[in-house]
Amino acid sequence: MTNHKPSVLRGLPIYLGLALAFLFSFWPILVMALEGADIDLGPIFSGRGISYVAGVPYYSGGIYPSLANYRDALLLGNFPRLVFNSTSIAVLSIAIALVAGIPAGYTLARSKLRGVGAIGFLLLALRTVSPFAIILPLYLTYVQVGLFDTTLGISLAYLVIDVPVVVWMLSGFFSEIPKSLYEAAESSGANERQIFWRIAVPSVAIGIAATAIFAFVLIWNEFLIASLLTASVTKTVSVGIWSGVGEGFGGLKSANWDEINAGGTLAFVPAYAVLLVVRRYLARGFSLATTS
Amino acid sequence: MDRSAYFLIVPLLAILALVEIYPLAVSVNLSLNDFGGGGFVGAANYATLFSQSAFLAALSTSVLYSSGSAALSTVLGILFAYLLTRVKRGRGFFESVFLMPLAAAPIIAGVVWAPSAIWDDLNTFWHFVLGQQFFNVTSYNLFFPIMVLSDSWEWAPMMMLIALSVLASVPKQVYEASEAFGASKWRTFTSVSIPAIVNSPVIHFMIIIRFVDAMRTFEIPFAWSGWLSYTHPGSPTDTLSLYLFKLLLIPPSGIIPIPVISAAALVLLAVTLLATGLLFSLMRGLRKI
Repeated sequence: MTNHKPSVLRGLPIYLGLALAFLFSFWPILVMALEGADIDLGPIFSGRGISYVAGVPYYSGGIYPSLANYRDALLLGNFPRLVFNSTSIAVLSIAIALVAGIPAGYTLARSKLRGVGAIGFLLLALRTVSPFAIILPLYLTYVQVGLFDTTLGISLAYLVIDVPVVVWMLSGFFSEIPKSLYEAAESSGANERQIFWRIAVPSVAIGIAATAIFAFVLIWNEFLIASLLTASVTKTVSVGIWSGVGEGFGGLKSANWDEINAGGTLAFVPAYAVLLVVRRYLARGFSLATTS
Repeated sequence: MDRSAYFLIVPLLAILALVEIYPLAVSVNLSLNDFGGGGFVGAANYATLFSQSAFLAALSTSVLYSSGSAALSTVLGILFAYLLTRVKRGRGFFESVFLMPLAAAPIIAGVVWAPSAIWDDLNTFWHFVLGQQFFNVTSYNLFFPIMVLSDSWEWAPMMMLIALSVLASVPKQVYEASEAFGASKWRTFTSVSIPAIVNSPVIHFMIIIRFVDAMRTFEIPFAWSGWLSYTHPGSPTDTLSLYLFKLLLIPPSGIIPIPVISAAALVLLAVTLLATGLLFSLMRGLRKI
């Protein structure tokens, strides 16, 4: 070993890197939360009043923090309604995805029958489909059959997003169950149905929960499909906090920026909370899904 | 397992038929016919599409954006993972902070990185503290990289999680051996960790997924096109999804060109499939080296 530098100095690049990565990850979130509270950091640097930048006046009015946007969003606005919509849409869609995805993931992990392996590839291929190739036909159909702007309608459309996630991640978790467990069950006379319900499903219960939560975050944050397939009745959180944008595209400047940031912060908190809870299982789920 | 396997995938196939295959078939049908009832028109809608320079521009914007985002989010994710493996105390804390962008809605990524939010603060700091000129965020050379950066900001945590799990799967003895030979931490990183990550099929798969998903990207360019008042189709912010969105909501001719939108969505599908195939064979070749 030839390292004579003091340990503090040796660790310096790492801590510098950590500090930069910390700022990069956290700064935008902090800016959003602060803007929601009407806090703009500009005046700290520029001082109050008018200053000239290359001859152009630059006005900064100082900092007057206020929780009015958060209060209005929670109490006056339709935010609770949006949360209810987003949640019921996500729950319904994920429930359907699990009903189809749990047995399919199990089969993908266990069966060596011809054609089953092709399903995994089919799912990847379908992921390349542009949302417009799906939304436009769905929209035309929904308007005819009365599914437009309904919870069921948008939940069905979201199967495009959550079904591949559920099947991939669950087939990963199922493939982790040791073969000997199945063999032991078979030799003690259990049939396929019992093996599936009594052994396979309970052993991946946490994996199922983690997968469902990840799918929930994806749907909670989805914008494009929701903006085209929902209207006033089933508007979701991610669309709702942007209503100033979505309703008059191009008229973005009329939208209240601070309100949007307050709404964005409120939408971020639950998504981040559930993601933190399942992060360990997520990392494993992603890797298992891609190796199985 | 016996033939019951087929029954277990029936619900999945039913769903795929309903929400993927059926709409796709309708799209193909729409793209080959005249929407006004003029019947079968063959490839005419595709010809219209390819004669529009705005479409070709949006297609190349999408490819550039997706390649940039897939590459940058991977590099950032690997760097974050490396930093986390080196930190002695507070690893859990840093990891939770690095995960934050993954929970933010993509539309949030579009707005917090926009001129009024981050750039307002950065510019005032840059100007009033460091005495520099303001960044002109509205110039293409700046806003396009920022759009790609904010997309990478959103997805780097996912790549970080993958890289961490790949690093965790490298046997401890390999690191110990490397250390025993006197290799520095950085040297160990470049000659043990990096090869492990680069050769990992998991990472390759995730890069492909990242690219494929970014090809459909919409929210970040949408927010920026609002900021820059690029409301007409064919603006420099337009990825294909945004271009089609504008054609749908504010068609330049006044009539929504549904067949052309369907045709464009199918061309995007073909291009993405082709790129995915290319990436797959490229990475398979990479693994053999």
